[in-house]
Amino acid sequence: MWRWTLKSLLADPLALLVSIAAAASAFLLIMFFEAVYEGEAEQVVSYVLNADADIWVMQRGVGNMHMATSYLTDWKLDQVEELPGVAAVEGILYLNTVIKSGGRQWFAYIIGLDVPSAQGGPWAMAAGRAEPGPDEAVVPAVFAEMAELELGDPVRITDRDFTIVGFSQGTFSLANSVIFVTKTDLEDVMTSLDIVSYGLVKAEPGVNPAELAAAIEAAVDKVHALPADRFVINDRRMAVQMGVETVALMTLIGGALAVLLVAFTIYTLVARQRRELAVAKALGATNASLYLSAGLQATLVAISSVIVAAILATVGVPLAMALIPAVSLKLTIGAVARIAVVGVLVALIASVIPARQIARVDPLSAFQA
Amino acid sequence: MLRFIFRQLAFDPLRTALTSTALACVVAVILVLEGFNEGLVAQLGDAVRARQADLIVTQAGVSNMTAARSVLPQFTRRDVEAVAGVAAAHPLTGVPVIYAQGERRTPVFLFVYDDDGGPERVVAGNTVREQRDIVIDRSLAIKYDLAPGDPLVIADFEFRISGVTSGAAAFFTPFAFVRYDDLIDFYFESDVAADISTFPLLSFLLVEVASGADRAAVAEAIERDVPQGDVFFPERLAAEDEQLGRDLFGPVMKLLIGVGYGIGVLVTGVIMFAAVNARQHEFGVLKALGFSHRFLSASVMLEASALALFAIPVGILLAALIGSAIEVSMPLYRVLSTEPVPVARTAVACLVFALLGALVPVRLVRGLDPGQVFRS
Repeated sequence: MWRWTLKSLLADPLALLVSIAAAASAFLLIMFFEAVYEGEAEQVVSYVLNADADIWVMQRGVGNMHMATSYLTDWKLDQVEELPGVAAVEGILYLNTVIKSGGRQWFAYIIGLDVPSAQGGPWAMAAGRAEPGPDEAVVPAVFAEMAELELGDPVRITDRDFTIVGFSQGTFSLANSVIFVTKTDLEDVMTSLDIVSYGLVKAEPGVNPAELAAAIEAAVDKVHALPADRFVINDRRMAVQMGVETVALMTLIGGALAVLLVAFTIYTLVARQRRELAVAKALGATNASLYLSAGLQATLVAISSVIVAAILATVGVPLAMALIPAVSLKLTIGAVARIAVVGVLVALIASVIPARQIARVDPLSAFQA
Repeated sequence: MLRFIFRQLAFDPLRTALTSTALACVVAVILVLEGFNEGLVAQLGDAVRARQADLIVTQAGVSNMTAARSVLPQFTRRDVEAVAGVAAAHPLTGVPVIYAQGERRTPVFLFVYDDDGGPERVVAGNTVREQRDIVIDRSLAIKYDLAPGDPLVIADFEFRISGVTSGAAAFFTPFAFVRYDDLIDFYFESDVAADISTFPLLSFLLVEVASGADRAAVAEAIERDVPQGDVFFPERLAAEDEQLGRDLFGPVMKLLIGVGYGIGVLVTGVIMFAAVNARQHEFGVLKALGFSHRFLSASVMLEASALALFAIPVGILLAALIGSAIEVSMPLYRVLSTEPVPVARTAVACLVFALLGALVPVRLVRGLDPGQVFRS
């Protein structure tokens, strides 16, 4: 039966190719959704991942950065700095708002830095300076590319124009592109004084960040301190919660399409073999073995389709990123494996219809034709 | 010819149903993606329109409502109300906050209002009446299983849910509505009450134009007399927010919709090919019986068109059902899957895909040897 299944699958290579192409298209769609989700989920926490901090200190009641608002009076960071086990502290001011430049507008996170900044500034540069001076800004290189900006061009934050002095790398995402200005300038934009949003704390070597965070909360009034890894988890969790429903929906819709396409292709494949199946039945093949054959064909088509889709996605994802730099895409082996498992399950479910048809085939029909 | 195509389609109803359902699903997937994009953009515009103002004043240089920080000096209200033709200027403040319950966190955009600018329609409970009352969007209520009467703690400050509103969300963020007295308490109970100016106290002014006054003239006068603010017609501000949505979501949605279309072309072509390829034997018989290449090619093309024409309305219906199901189960999202332009675009594309997809099988039919029917 196995041999016969394989032989019948390969008997019409064009039909098999078409079946694989159809199912691969549906899996490719799901892989793109997954890649968008993974890429953005990673990019959305790029700042908190790359800032040089062992502990993040923020306003009580706040536990993350993405879409959050946090204010601390800056003398609280002086208190933190005096605690044993603290090597360095840097305060950043933070605002999420819309920026405008080169005729384009974009939602961005503005980070106000105390210059020179050792911990909170850009971690990789494409061009220009990493540290902004008064009335200067460092913007993501991807945004500069999209808005066709050059160093020296202006960028507007609310009612103030800043001169672009640097293009940073790894700081662009659909949800939170990061712009760096001086803290004094951002205070001016926010009409705030002597305020920080977050304190980036470096621990002395050998000091446990969780214990130091607890010590900070005990010593300084009304602050929340979190070890960096926990802070990153919180930020990612919220970003993921915001996007996961969207991607889950898209994946569900793409998955439903995959079910149908696999059902269609398997049905078409089996329909072509109806006469052969009737002959097989007439020669004594049981319904169980015919069900097994349909299931095997479906599984082979599904696995081949996932492999084809994965190859196409491996080529297509970097291509899409080159064509649309605003979108961060990341295709993981885990995502492909997940889709493969779902694909095989889908194929097995999809093979039920043709399998039922096979079971109903009258062996006599083989001799009536 | 039509009778022949009808018979072809009716010969194997399951195959015809599967083919047209698969085509309809392709249409539906593209329409849902398009609808998702349209919905995201529309939500941003509606957030402005739902404030129901004649004119809206923002901080100078700020031309968005939902995603931007706008801070107006307190005296701006007095300045605006002093302009001829202004009946009233209602304050509105936008504060982004995070609502956390256990390990789950959701950003919430807090609208603080006085008289106007509050929730447009309350679907459960009441609007804000008592101290610490808050009205939340249905999406937040469903996500965290919240109901009127429940407490809602934001940044250690406890509100009480007085009502639930619907359609108050944009930018993946549900809205909540509170009164100014509670905002002041909210700020004072927080850490930096000593410098309350840090917090936005006034973001926007919703201007009510006096009856008989010319809106454009009043807008011009505010622009001239109130330099710390910019004045917008609500439809203009809504358009600005919608444009921001297009700029922000555009790249990713274009990519996904583009992939959807690309796959739609492939799938439709493959479906049409498979549908004809599976019947090579029948076409061979027809050729042997004397049917011309032209007749058979035309019949394949017409069959493809018939399948597409059947699949398009089914796909639209399916997309509308999926859109409604998403909106009911996840009211944070709006899916406008039956907007005329995307529907027309997708319908034309489906028809073109189907015809293009039929071209390959047409060549297949053309190259078919009638003799093989009798050799098998």
